[in-house]
Amino acid sequence: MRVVIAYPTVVDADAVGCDVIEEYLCLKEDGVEAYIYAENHDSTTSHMVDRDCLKFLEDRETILIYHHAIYWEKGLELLKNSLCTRVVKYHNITPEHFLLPYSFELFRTCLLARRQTAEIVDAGVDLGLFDSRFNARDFIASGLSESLCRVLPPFTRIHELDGLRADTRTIERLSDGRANVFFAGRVAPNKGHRSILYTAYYYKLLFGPEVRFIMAGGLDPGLKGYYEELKALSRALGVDDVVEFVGKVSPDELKSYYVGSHVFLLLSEHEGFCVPILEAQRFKLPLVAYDSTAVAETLGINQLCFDTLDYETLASSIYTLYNDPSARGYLAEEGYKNFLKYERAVLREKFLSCVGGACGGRGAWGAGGAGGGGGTGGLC
Amino acid sequence: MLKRIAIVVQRCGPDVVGGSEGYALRMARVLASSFDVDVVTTTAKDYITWENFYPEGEERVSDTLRVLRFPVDFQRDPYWHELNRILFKKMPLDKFSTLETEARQKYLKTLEHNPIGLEEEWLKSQGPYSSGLLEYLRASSKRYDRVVFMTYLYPTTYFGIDSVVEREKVLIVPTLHDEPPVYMKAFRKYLDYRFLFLTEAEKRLAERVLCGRPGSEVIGFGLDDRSADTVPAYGGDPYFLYAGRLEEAKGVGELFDWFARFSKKRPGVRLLTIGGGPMKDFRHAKIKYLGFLGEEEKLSVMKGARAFVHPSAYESLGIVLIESFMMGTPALVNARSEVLKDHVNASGGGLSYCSYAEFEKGLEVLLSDGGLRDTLGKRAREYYLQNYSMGSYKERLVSLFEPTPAQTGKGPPEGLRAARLSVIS
Repeated sequence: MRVVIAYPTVVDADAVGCDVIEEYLCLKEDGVEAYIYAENHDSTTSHMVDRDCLKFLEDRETILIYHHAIYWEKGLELLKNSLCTRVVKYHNITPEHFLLPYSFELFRTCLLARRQTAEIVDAGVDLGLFDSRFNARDFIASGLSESLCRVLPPFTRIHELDGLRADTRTIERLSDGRANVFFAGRVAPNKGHRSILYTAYYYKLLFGPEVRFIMAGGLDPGLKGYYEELKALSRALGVDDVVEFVGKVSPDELKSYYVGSHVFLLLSEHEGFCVPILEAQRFKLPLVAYDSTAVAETLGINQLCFDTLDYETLASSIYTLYNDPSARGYLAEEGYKNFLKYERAVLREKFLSCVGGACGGRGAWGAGGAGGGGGTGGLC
Repeated sequence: MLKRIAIVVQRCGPDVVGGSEGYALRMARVLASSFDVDVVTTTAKDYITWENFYPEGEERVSDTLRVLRFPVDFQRDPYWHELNRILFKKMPLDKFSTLETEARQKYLKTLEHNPIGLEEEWLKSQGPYSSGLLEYLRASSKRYDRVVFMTYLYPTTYFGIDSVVEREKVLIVPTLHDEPPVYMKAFRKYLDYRFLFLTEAEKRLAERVLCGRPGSEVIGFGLDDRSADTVPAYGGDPYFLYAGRLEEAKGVGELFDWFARFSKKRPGVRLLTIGGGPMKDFRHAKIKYLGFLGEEEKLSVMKGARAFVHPSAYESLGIVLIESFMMGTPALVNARSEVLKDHVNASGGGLSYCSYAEFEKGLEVLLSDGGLRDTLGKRAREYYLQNYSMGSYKERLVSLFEPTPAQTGKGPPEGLRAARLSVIS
């Protein structure tokens, strides 16, 4: 028994790449013969990638773990032609309507990728693994039986942030008595930046300008128009003095924002999982969030999550949390408990159980070994 | 019957100087007469750098007492100092204790906005941080009936308690001091645990800073009475004594300055010091450093002193003060420490000071009025006998670790059990 993990581009810095690599490492640790197939990779992953491994897909003793997050023409072909057990790990694809006003190319890419979801289901899936229950909906809507769906959150690199030293210049800048409200995520139209600006407007109006709303995240060149819109909205609302777009930040700066801020404000309209939630919870940063898509289920219980975008309420919540250490402490501790559910050891066990179940407990797991998690039906 | 107890402490070694470390070892020795005890600690000796010093692994002290040492992951470095400066708004520790009420409240208000994540980063980088120790607790805490964590301030306790899944097993001996870090909100998570306090003053401080009333008991301390078999040392010229960590945070800088000033008026009097720390090399004709003395020698020097001077504003017990009381030596203490002030007020065995004038007056009275000095000394010893003798401490301590009825499986008395059964039926 062997496992082939396939994704078009496997690089360490990418979220899906990280999931692929960690799956590979978990299998290796468990004594399983494992391979990564990728068309592109970088120097950190080159030793893991083996393009000859496609030959194993004709062997029924092989399990293919096919990661689906973007449009991949060749990937669909190799999935269709494979004779082995097919496991699909789905990471979600941004609905194309978010992108249409800014980039036809990105719109088209997302549209094609989402269409591939149905084609993947049609090709035949033995087991579907999803970052969240929300993500499973796309596959169920395309015809995959719910009994073949399992929730398996992605592996993350949060432990690496934990080991880093924060940038003390950034922390010092944040320690001037102003309330620091942080958000980390790509500058993309589904991420709720506009809502953050409206919240900043109401905060300033109700409580004054002793606040900064910091938005960190890289900008796709194709979404420059979106960024320009945000800058214009910030000027029009008169919140330029309390809003900072800090762009893509280094890991030590990112850690500084997590440990130096008072609230993480998450108003995204579409998230298939949302790793920054766990990053904030790891660093005991309380969240104020909007309950859309997979946000609430990733947040866990006893967290602050609103079902409407009422900006006055959001601003008031931030102000209250800034001034009430007990409330911040409660949310931080409860959030941390949620984070612990996503630690590597926990996910490793779930992953091996799912894959073991997919092969019916054969191979390295032995009959009835780690398997079973993938063998019982329903979303877990 | 309970069998195994772990005591987790930041350092433990024969030449470690420190109140809470000393307390942990003494507690371990007392408990080891009734239980199997493991002291779980790091390989660090130096409390500033946390450099790995002692060999990693097990050291067997007796049949029922082991010390398990784990290496620290990193030494304290400028990163922590930077975080310390930012977190505490450049407030020097010695200045905090002198702040007037209004200024103090204003300063503490500024700390309220510090993010918990930043406080935790400060805690971790302060050290000693040992992932090996935390991993051991995660893997092995099930094997212990109780896990005692010593000192609120260090990662061994702060992160260590998270490694013990069964919270009811955890006891924290926080050794709280009224210092800026104690006001960090991160420590409020301790409210979920049971405390063992060393003094009533410490308990009052906990309720104030943690904003709640944790489940707790005042366990105190105990010393074997060594007064009768100890001969006073350093006869001749009268002297005062300080024993402990020789550092600014303990008020030693102020003590040296003030004693140097005093000695100009009273050139025939000396201040002797015992212990270790960054100020041990301080030079003054009337201040003599005796080094790190053995127990016997230390008690002899205590017995011969006119008084024990305790200049620290940050104490949770003051073991050396209790030792000097045991030897019948009165004390002159910094009144800014509520704990030390409580000791001298409750015993009538000493004096306290808030200013140089009071410090000078205290030394002068203890020098010139032999009758008063002896009366204070007798009261001090009486206070020790009543509150800090080993017999009563051991009784209190061991009874804490005795199993509750539920743990022995005895359950409620027969009559009560019958009553409950009848209700259920």
